[in-house]
Amino acid sequence: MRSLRTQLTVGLLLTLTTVALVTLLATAWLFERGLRNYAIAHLENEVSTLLGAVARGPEGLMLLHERIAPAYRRPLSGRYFVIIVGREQWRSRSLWDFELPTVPERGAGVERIAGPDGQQLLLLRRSLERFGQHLDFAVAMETGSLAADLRFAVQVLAALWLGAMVLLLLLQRLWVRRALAPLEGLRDQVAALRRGEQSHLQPATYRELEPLVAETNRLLDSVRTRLQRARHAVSNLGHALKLPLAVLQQLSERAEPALRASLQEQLTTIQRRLARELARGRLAGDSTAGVLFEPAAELPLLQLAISRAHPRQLTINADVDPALPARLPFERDDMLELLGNLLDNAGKWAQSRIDIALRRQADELVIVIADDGPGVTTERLPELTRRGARLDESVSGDGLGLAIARELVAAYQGELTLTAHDPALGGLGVTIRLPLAATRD
Amino acid sequence: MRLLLVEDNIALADELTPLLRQSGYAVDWRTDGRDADLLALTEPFDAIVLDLGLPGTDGLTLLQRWRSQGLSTPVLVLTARDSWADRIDGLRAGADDYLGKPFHPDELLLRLQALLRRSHGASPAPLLRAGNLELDEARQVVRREGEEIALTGAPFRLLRYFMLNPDRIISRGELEDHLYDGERERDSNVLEVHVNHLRRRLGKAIIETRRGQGYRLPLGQPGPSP
Repeated sequence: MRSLRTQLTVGLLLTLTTVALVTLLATAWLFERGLRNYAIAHLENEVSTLLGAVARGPEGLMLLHERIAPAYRRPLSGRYFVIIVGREQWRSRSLWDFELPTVPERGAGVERIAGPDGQQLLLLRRSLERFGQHLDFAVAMETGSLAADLRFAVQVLAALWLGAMVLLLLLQRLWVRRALAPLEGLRDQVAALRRGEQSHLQPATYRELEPLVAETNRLLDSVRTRLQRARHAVSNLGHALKLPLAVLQQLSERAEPALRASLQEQLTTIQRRLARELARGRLAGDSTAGVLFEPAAELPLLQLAISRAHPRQLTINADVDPALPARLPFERDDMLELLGNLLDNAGKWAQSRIDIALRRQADELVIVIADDGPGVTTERLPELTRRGARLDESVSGDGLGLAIARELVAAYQGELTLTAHDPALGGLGVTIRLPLAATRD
Repeated sequence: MRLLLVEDNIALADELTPLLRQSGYAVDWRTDGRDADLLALTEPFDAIVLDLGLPGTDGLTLLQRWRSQGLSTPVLVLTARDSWADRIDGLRAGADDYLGKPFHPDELLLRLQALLRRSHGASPAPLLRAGNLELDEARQVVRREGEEIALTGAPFRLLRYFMLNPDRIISRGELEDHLYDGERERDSNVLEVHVNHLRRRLGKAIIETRRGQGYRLPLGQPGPSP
């Protein structure tokens, strides 16, 4: 998965590097150009000075050494000239035994050449007239040390840039973290939503997040409305079908025994199928969609409903782990359907006692329902299990409640296991594990 | 035992009413929530069988109103809305039991029987016991010391009422209120005839007459028939 933070960092890094490179290259080029212009101006000036030092002597033209800068006399000083007058050639003493490249005929221009002692020279050639004589000037100066200074300046600049980049990147990480903080907050809220601790997202404090929050809340509302509508529709359908069924059931009582038996068999099949599909249609499968399950509020009434449904001496012991939150992150109607079906099933078989325990084990809710009935034989156990696994197979008899329970458990990514004989009570034991914290992933 | 059946589906009520009457209940039937509301508060019913989807006033609202007005008559909710959440909501609104449609007639009778027993403080055992009498309500047979005596409709209803209210003086008015529905002509001679019938079958001492007060089923001492 791509990361916003990395993407922002890479973007900033690329921008900064490009800007730094362009700036540094431009600076280097500008420095270079300035240096060259300065050197040329200086050399032009030297040519003028040298020209001024040319005087008419007794034997023709001569150079007045006192008018020439002392640097031209110091060997390898970095300031050199060669003046060609006719056949004569005047060389600065500083050249020592180095030869400036021969001056081409009437050539003029600027040239970069290698000098003595590893020096870098800029050479200016000019051809001028003095006292009617043609003079060819070649003046050179050392530019290497200046260039080194410039290089150093560029390096300092580059170092400054690097420092600025590091600083900017660090600051940017900080900004990104701060900018993403509302998103983290949103994520926490969504988690709380799943745990059912809040029903909507809080209004966003950042304008950019407001559409997201508003859309999420709208979506939540729409999911809830749709669930309600679906449940209503299912309930209405159930109502519409069950009434005629109830009438048929009563009418069948009047039929002759053979007809009554087959009528009632068919009616029972329809009823079971209907009950199953209605239970499936009502299933929310998600705690964000509705009201949360509160064991303390619902279990006593559920116990009452079960003992009423099985009118004989039946003790139902409920044991709820105090470590569990008051409201569990499962939809109320789903949980009531799950527990109701299982307890009802237990009620059919129990002699006198049903135990239901809700425990917390790590991040799971573990529900154990057991009765003191006959249990099932070990051979029948896989049969019960297989029945539940084949969802669309029409389930007969006692498997119905279990099959509905299985579907509910599957919708919550839980697990349902059966024990042929509960170790304490001896009857069928049903253990359900439901993940409590699917929210933190 | 007098029942109020509130059910707007006429076909179903047409089947239920005879079933309940055969099982020894006096039945008043109403289809509308508003009618039922008034009737339940004025007549001394022993139990109410209430459908939830009613015209007039919705069944659950009706039930809540009855309970808030202090009506303690046991109510069996009979409805097609039978998810466990609906059941819990029904019990919370004050229902004593909840039966989903469609249902088996025996199931309804069994639940009603348990409901009535409970409301009279008796245990939900298969047989109703009072003194040395055991009443099998499903078969309408009374058993005393191993001897089984079959009873017909009216004496069975009478005996059941006595057995649910043992050792208590019950006036004729009360008996008439609980044994006959609102449409039956009341005739105290008929009651006398049924009491005498019970005495003939079970012995004179089975029911005492308290002059000016009513009748009583004494606990413990009634001996075998002479």
